[in-house]
Amino acid sequence: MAIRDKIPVYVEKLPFGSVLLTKTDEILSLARSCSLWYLLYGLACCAIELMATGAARYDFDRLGMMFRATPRQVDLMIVAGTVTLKMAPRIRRLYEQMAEPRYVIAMGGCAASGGPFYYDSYSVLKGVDKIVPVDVYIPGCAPRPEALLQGCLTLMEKIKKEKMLSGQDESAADNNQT
Amino acid sequence: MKAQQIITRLNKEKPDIRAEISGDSAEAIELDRAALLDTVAFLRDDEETSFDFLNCLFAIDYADRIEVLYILHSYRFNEQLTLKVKLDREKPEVESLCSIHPGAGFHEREAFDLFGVKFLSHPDLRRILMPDEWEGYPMRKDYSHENLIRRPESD
Repeated sequence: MAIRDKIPVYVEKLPFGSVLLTKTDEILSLARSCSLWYLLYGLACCAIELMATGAARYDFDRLGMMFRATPRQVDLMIVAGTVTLKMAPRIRRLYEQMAEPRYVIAMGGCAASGGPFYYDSYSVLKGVDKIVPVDVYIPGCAPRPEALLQGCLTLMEKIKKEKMLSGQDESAADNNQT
Repeated sequence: MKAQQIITRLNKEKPDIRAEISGDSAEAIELDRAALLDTVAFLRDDEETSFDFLNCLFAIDYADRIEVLYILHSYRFNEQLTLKVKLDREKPEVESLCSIHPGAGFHEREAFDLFGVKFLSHPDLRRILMPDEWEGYPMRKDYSHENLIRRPESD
């Protein structure tokens, strides 16, 4: 059974099947990492790659990633593109409207650091981590869908390590700092 | 119709308008600020020029002056013409073209937003790209901002 490869379980075979025993933290984190709903929005050319990743060839859905058009229903914000100073307060507000626990992926050079607009630009924010905490950075200009998928898998690994109930996880505490 | 022919026609029909070929480019006509509205209206209505469309409008900062350029287009003759006015950089003011070409409104707001050119009697002159509370005019040569880091000189 595939779930045995993902989380530690105790299996007891019975005549009519088997009983699985595991920790609620483990099953909770596994479930959360496999249903990352992300906010449907894009800021620049990275959004094209984001759309390609969501479409049939790369297919976000197979990771349980569905887009939602409202921040109230999402777990993940993928900042796909250049963040301008004019856009920054709106992104901050969208982040604040997301329910916790919430995650942010900075996709591409612009979202990570300002990218090609770091120098000689008066209007571009030099990295989205100046306004929201970022969990995963994806380099590239623009990152290919494979890179975005790798970033999402990295985030899923991070979420699997979180312990929501026992509250021992440090990365979750980091994430809530603003 | 070449720019020189247009100037000849302007001189004939509107003797009080002073227009000359711009020194920088042979196809641009330089005007006094005061003559702009009359000239644009004349070029639009005149049967021989018929510049009935304002293609675009933009400002240039030359560090000692600000110029506003108007690119007119004639659908009838499929021709283009550039008009140019030179403005005082300390207080750049020019009449709005909205009464002649209503489409000028957004272009003028852009020039106001980025260069600080004030278009008199514009119906709604406010910033169009930058946030409303932004200070300064980013496309000016001497603009500086805390977010603006100049690229280091490469070897």
